[in-house]
Amino acid sequence: MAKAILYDASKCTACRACYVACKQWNVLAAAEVKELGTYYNALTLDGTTWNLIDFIEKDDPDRFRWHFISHRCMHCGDPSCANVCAAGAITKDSETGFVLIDNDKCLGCKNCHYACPFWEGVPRFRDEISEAEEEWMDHGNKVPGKRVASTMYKCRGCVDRVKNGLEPACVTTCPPDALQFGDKGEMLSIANARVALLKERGETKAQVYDPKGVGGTGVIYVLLDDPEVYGLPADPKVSTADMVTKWLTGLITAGILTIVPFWMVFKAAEAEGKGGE
Amino acid sequence: MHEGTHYWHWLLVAEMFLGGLAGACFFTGALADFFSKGKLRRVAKIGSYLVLPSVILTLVFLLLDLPPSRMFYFWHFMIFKPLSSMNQGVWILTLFTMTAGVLVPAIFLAEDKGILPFLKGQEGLRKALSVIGIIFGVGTMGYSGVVLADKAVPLWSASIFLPATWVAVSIVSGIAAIRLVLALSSKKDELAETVLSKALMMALIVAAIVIVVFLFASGDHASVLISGSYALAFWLGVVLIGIVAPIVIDFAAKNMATISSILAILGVFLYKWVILYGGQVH
Amino acid sequence: MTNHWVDLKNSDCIVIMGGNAAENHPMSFKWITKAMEERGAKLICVDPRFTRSAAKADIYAPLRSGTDIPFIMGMINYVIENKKYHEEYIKCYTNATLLVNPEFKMPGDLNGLFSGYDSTARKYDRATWAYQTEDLPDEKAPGGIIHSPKRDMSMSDPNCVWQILKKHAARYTPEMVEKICGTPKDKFLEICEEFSKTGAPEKAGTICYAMGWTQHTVGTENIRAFAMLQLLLGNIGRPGGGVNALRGEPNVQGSTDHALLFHIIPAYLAVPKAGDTFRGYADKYTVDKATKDVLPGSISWWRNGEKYLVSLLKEWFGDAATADNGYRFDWMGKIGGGFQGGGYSHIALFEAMYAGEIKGMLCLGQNPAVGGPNSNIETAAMENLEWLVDLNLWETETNSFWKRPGCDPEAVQTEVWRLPAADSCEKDGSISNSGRWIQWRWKGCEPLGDCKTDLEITDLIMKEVKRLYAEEGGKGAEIINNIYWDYSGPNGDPDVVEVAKACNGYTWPDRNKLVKNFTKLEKDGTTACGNWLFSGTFTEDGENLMQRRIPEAEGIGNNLEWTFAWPVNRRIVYNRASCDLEGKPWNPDIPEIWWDPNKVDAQTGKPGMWTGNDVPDFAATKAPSAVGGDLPAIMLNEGVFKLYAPCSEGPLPEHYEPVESPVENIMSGQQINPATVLWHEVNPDTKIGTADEYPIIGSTYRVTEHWQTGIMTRNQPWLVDLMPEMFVEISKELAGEKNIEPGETVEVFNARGSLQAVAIVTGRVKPYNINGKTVHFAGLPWCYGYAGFCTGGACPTLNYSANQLTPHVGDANTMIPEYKAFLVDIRKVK
Ligand code: SF4
Ligand code: SF4
Ligand code: SF4
Repeated sequence: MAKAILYDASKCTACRACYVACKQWNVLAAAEVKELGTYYNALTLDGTTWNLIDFIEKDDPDRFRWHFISHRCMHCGDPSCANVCAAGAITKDSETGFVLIDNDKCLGCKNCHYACPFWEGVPRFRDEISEAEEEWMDHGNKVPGKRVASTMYKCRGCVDRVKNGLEPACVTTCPPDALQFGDKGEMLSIANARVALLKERGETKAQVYDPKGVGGTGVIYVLLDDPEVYGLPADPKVSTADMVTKWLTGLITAGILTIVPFWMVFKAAEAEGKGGE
Repeated sequence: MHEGTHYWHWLLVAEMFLGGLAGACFFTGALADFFSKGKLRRVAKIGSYLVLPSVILTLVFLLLDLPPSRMFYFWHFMIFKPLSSMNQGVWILTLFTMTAGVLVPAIFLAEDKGILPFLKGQEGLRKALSVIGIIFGVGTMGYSGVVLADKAVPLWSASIFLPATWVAVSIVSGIAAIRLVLALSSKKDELAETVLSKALMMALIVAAIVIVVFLFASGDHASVLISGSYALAFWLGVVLIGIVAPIVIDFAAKNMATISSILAILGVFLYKWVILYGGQVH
Repeated sequence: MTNHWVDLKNSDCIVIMGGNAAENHPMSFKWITKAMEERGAKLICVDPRFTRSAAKADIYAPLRSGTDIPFIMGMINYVIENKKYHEEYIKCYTNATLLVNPEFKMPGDLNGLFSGYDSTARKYDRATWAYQTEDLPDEKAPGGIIHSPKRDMSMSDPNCVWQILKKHAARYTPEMVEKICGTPKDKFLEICEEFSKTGAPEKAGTICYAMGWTQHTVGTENIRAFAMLQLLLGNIGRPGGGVNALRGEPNVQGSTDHALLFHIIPAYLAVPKAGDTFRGYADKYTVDKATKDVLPGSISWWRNGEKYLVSLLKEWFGDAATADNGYRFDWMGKIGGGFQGGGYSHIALFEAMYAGEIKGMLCLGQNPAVGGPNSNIETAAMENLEWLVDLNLWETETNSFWKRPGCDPEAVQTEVWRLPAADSCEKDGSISNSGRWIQWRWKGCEPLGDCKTDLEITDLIMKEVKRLYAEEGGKGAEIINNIYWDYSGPNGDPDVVEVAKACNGYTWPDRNKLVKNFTKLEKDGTTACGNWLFSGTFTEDGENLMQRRIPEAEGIGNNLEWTFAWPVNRRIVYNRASCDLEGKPWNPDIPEIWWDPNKVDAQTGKPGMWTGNDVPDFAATKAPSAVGGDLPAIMLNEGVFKLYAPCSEGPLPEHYEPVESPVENIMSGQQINPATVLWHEVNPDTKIGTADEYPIIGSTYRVTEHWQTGIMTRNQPWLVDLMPEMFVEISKELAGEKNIEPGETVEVFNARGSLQAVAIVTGRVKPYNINGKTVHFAGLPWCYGYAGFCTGGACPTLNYSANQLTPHVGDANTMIPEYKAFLVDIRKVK
C-alpha cells in the first residue's frame, strides 16, 4: 500500500520544527544563511536541506494573508527524476512508494534536478559529506544507500523510520499535526474532509493538491488558495511524457525539412559532372 | 521567489555543440555522396574524418561535466534504460562512434593512405555503414535536444520543438564545418564549395524557420530570449551573426566561405548556449 | 493557566492577544487546531503586527501596542450594552452584586484617577474602595463574626459593582477604541460579536496571552480586564474557558510556584515584611482570611495559610523551629522598601547596582545583559560589582559583560566566576508547565565535562557556607548553623528526589512518612513541607505521581492519570463554576464536574458528593443548596470572583498611555499609570524620550526559532540558519518615508541607545491611524547579543540587543518592565 505524507497548509504555523527534525534525524549540516529582510532568507532546498517552509504574503481583497508552504520532494507516482536518470540510481520503493536516490550509483549529472517539476527541481547536488555523516555511517546507518560526495540528495521519506514502524521525523515533530503520515487512501480522505470543512468555514479556494499529471504524489497538500499562489505548478506533467513526440520533431527536421533541400542541391552536383575526386 | 540553482554550464554547451557537429558532419557528407551519386565523395570523406575528433571531444566534455570524484564511475551510465534520453544518448553516441566515427573513416583511409588494405574498396559495406551512420548521426544531433526537452524547465520543454531546432542548427554547423575545412585546404574544389554554400544557405533558412516555430510554440517562456536577459546574445549572436550574416555574405560575395562558415558555426554554438543558460534563469 | 494545554481543544472561541501562541508556544496549536477542526471554534488574534498566529486566525485585528485596556474595556462595554453576558453566572459567582463604599469615585469623575490618590507618593489610599460590610455571626470564624460585604441581588444599587462597572465601561465606546487603539471599528465589532457568543451558558471561550500583556506599565490591569470579560461571559472555571497565561519557559510556572519572585515565598504565601511577627503574619491568614470581606459559607481556603507557613519553617529549620520560638519566623529573611523605596524587582536591583549599592551577584538561569531592560545601563551597573558568579552552559553576554562592544575590559574590576552548568536534559527533576502539570523528566545523558546540576552546585555552596559559619562564626551564624539541609540520596550525593519529597511534605519529627496532600499539613509543627501546592506529588507509599504517563481513554481531556497537577491533581481550577447553581454542568456535552446527590461519601457514609472528570475545586460534600454551596471562588475571601479588585492603580482597569507614547491620553488628563515608579526621576541616566524626538512605537518580541535571550538557540546552527541576524520589522509605508529597501541595514535608536538591524519591510506591519494621526511601528526581536556562535550582526561597535532601547520603567504591581511599548526612530545606515 502506497504511503503518503499529508501537509496541511491551513494548519501549518511555520514553526519550522520539521526543518530541524529532518536535519537532526538525517544528520544534515546547517545551511549558511544571511538575513535578507525576510523570514525565509532565501533558504533553498539543497544537498543538506530536504524540506523548508516558505512564507508568502498576499493582499487578498477581503483580508491580508500570510501563507506557509513546505518545499520538499513530492514523491511522485510517476517520478520524472527516476525516468531521466541514465544510471538508474533513482527508484520508487515498492513498499512505501517513496522515491529514493541511490547515491552509490548516482554520478551527479543533475538530470534529475532539471527533470523534477516541483520547487525548481527537488534533487540537489552536494559536494561534501560531513564528518558527522561519516561517523553516522560507521555506526551502520546506510539507508537507503550510503552518503557519497558529489551526488544528488533529497528527502528520502525517512524510509529507515517508516520501515521500523515510525513516522517520518518531520511528521512526528509537527506540533499542530499539519503533517500527517499514513496510507495514501487514508491521507486523501483526511485531506478531502479537511477541505470540505475549510470551505464551510469560508475558505472558498481550499483544495487538495495531488496532481494527476505526475501520477499523483506521495506528498499531498491541503491548500488555501490556488497552487500557483504557493509556487506550485497548477498542472505538472511527468517531464518525460512527450519524449517520443519531441524526438519526432527532431527526426522530421532531419528527415524531411533537410533531406529535401539536400537532395535538390546535391543532385544538382551530379549534373555538373566533374565533381568527386 | 528563490534563487535558482544553475548547475549546467558551458561544458555542457560544448558537449552538445560538438556532438551535434559530429552527427551533422557525417549526415551531410554521407547524404551529399549518396545524392550526387559519388560526385561529392570528398565531402563525405571530410565529413567522416571530422567525426572522431568531435566525438572524442564530446566525450571529454561529457566526462568533465561530471564531478571529478564521480567521473570515473561513468560506466554507471552503461546500463540499458531506454526511457532515459541521457541513456539513449550514451548508446546512440557509442554506436555512432563505432560506425560513423571508426568504420567508415577507416574504409576511406584505406583508400587514401593505404592502411588496413583489406578494407579498401569495400563500397557495399561503406554504404551500408553510412546508412546506419546517418541514422545514428541524426540521433547524435537530436539526443541532447531531447535531454533538455524532457526536463521541467519551461524554455526547454514547454514546446515540443527544441529537438527540431537542435537538429536544424547542428546541420548548419556540420555543413559549415566541412565547408570551412574545404576552404582552408590547399586543394580547392569549386563544385563542392558552390554546392555547400547553397546547402548552408538552405540549412540556415530551415533553422531560422524551425527556431521561429519553436519560439512561437514556447510562448511566454521564450521571453528570456526575445526580451529578457539573454535577448542581446540571441538577437546579436544567434540571429544577426549566426544566421543573417552568413546568408548576406554568401549572397554578396564569393570567396568569403571561411568567414561565413565561421560565423554560422559561432551562431550554432551561441544558440545552444543561450538555450542552456536562458532556461536556467528563474 | 487556570486551565491547561489540552483543554484548549474544548473551546468555542480562542482569543490570542498579548501573546503569539503560534510562534512562541507552538504546541498550543495542537489543541487550538483541534478545537477549530472538531468544535468549529473560531480563532481571533489581536496584535500590533500580523504574526504567525494571526495567519491562522479567522479574524485578525491590529492594535497599537500599549492599548489593550481600551480594547478589552470596549469589549466589556459591548457585552454589557448588548446584554451578551451570562446573567446567572455574574449574579451568583461574581462580586457584581456586592456594594462598594459610596465615597468611591472613578476616573470618569476625577479626570483619570480613582478616589484616594496621593500625587507626591504616587500611591492610592484604598479606604474609599472598600466594600460596604455588615457583621454576621459565623461559628467557624475566629471570634464567631464575619465582616461580610453587603449584597444587592437585583444589582440595581448605584454602589453595587455591576452599576459601577457599567458606568466605567460605558466610556469605552467603539469609536473611542478606534481612536486610541487604531483598530478599525468594524473589525473591533466583529471580534466583540464573535467572542461574546461565548456568553451563552453552554459555550466557553478562552484567552491565550503572554508577555504582550504583562510587559506594560499597566500589565496587571491588562490581564484583569480580560479576566473580567471572561467573568461576564461565564467562562471561568469552565472547560474550554479560563484565563490562560502561556508561560515562556518550560518551567517558569515552577519558578513562580517555588517563589523566584520577591513578593512571595514558596507556594504563593506573602513575603514577610520587616517588623512582622509570627503571630501577626499568621493571623493575616488565620483571622483575616476567615473574617474580612467573607460572604457567609465562603470556603476562603487561605485561612489555612498558617499550616503551610509552619510546615515550611519546619522544613527549613527542622528541630530548631518550635511553637515557643514562633517556628523561627524571626530567622526568615524579610523585605523592606527596597532601593529608593522601589522594591526588589529586576529594575530596582539593577538601579541599586548602578548606584553602587550591590556588591556581588549570583546569576543563574538567566542572561540579564540581553534580557534586562535598558541594557546599556544594566551592563554598566555590572561594572560596579565586586564579584559575579554566573552559572550557565555557555559564555553569555552576562558572564562576559566586560567584553561588550564599547567597554574597556582593563577598566572593569569585577571578578567573574563562571560555573559550568548542566543542561535540563542532563539531569532528573520536575518541571511545571503552564497548565500546572508537574512532570518528571529523566536524565537523557551525563553532563559534559565538569558541568554540574544546579542542585549539586547549590548543595556544594550551601555546605561550604555552613562549614565556614560553623568554623568561623559571623553575622547570623545561628541561622545558618540551624538550617536543616539533608537532601542526600542513597550514595551521599544530593538527590533531587529527596528535594521533591521535601516539597511534598512529611511528618515531623519521625520524618519518614510522606503526607497524602496539603489537607494533612498541620500548624502544630508535626508536619514539614517545602511547598504546600506540591503536596500530593508523592503517594504516602512514596510513589512519584509526577512520573505517571497514562493518557486518558475517555474523558474531556483532563488526563487525570498523566503526571500530577497542583493543586491536588486538579486540572481546571475554580471548576465549581462550570456548573449551574444546582450543580449541573452549564455545558452537558463537556461535563467537568457535577453534584451527584446519590454518591455516598466513604468517610461519613452520607449521600451527596461532587464528582466528575476532574478533582472538584470545592468542598467535596458541600451541597449546592448549602450555605456557600454556590460560592465557587474558594481562594478568595468573598467566595465570588472579583469583577472589582483593588490593585495599585485602582480597582478597575483604566487606560493610561505607555510611559513613552507617541500620543496623548484622550481618555483623561492622566497620561501614564499614576502608581508606577518613575526611575528616571531617581536616576537621570535612565532616560525617557519624547515623541518629538522619537516618533515611532518600538516593541520587542520573540521568534519561534530562538528562545529567550538566545543563549540556548544562538549556539545551535540549525536554528541560526532560520533566523540568522537581528532584524526590525517595519511597514512598507515607513520604509517608503525613510527610503529603506528590504534587506538594508538600518539603525534603530532612541534616548537610551542605538542598534543596527536588517530591515524586514512587510505588509504584515501597517501604520496605525490614531485619532487622525499616522503612527508607525518598529518590531524588534530581543534574542540577539554579542556572545556565542551567532551574535546578531556584523557591526563591531554595536551589540544588537533590542533591550538597549527598552526603558527602565515597570508595572505598578509586579514591576515587570515595559518592554512592549516605547519610542524609537529609525534611519538608514549609509
Ligand atoms: S513542523 Fe508542522 S507546523 Fe511547523 S513548520 Fe513544519 S509543517 Fe508547519
Ligand atoms: S518531486 Fe521531483 S524529485 Fe521528488 S519524486 Fe517527483 S520528480 Fe522526483
Ligand atoms: S520525510 Fe524525512 S527526509 Fe523527508 S523531509 Fe521529512 S524528515 Fe526529511
